[in-house]
Amino acid sequence: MSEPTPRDTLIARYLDGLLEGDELREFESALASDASLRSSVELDRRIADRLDAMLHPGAAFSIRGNRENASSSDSNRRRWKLIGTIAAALVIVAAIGIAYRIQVGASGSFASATREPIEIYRTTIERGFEPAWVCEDDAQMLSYTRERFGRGLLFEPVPGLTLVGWGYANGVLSDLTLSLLVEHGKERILLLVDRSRDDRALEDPALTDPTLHMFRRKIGRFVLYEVTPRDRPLLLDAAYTARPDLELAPGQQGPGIDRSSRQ
Amino acid sequence: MPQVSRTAEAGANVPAGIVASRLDREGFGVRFSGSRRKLWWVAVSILGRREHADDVLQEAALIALGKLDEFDPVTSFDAWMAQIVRYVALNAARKVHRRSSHHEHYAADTHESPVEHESPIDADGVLSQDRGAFDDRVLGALRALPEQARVCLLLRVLEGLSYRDIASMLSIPEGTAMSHVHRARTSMRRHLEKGDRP
Repeated sequence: MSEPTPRDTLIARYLDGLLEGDELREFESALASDASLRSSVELDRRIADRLDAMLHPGAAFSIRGNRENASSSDSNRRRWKLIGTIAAALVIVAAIGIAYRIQVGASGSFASATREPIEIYRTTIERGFEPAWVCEDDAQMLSYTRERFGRGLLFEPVPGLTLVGWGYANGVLSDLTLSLLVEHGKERILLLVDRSRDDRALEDPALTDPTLHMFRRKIGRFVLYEVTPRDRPLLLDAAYTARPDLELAPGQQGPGIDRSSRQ
Repeated sequence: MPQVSRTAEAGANVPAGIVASRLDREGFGVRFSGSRRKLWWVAVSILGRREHADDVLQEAALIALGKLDEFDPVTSFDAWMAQIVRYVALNAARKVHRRSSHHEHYAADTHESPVEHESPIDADGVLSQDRGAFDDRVLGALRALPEQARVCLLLRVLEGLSYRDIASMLSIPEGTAMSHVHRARTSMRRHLEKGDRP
């Protein structure tokens, strides 16, 4: 392995959830202005995401039952008889596995410290509601979300609503969680976006700040949380997943929600 | 004089005050099931793939069951099992390599492709054109890492283990585990960045 530079170490510590306080603020501020740094962080996350997709126990973590062994050889039977004493424990594995996945996030893939929506919302406001990444049009939005999540996510225009840009919210659901910064007049809304398989029970921001509300919607492979000072969501219903074959030219608007398929 | 548990001092996850006893088969099953996810990553990091990892764990469990008398309950169960899993996984990797070499030789005569590819269609039915190539490079970069760095990386990034737990499991200092993870991340990213250049 080659020797990491101080920049490499900083990136690794950031992704590891080890940066705190001023160090974290400085790094995230650098992320907003340094495209090369952003690109490195994105690549690192993408690598982790693909490793998770390819190597995670998932279905392979199942227990082979007796039915499978019914026709196996005698030696196999002896083998399974021997391991029979731990078979019951293996059943527990499934339960533990499921419980673990629920507890640490469905993919169990993130190592960052868990962060709650209220923390992300406050931090984003404190930093001037500045995005780290701006998508100029639907084509960029499609490309960005497709690359990050494997499926494109787009939004129909909502009168009075401005999509300011994307921010990082790693640690909320996984280390891939993004926050979409949205303005409605003077109101500032945050949409947390991640894969639905990483969903977990998030702490309601209203518990800490009664002026905030949170709404959830699952759409395709995405789960969206709208954190807003309004008592109803504005953006959730405007979100739609793009068809896998959809391609958009720069400046071209997405096709919008296919309402014909809705009951 | 207060009773001091050597077990707890040794980090074997037994609460202080409880004197460790030898593992019986039932106890092994409980401990093994609790450690199985972590051991899975040890197997995968050596095999470099998900396939056969389950078999490796089962074989390791059988070996461990036959050696229960050798397990010292004042030591870490995870570390003991990780060593067995490593040994079994290394053997399995050699066998897979031999079979793969044979298969490649056979395929050369029959024009059969020996390479198993992950389906380019994902769970949502989405066709990803570049995913296969990118995934190949990611796995290539992973396999290029030293074995211990691979284990540390997977346990930390994909399993979310603390450095303390990783260190205990692999019998290495925490700082070494962290260094492995950070270097491995950097190394993989550079590997992929290099590949991105035209």
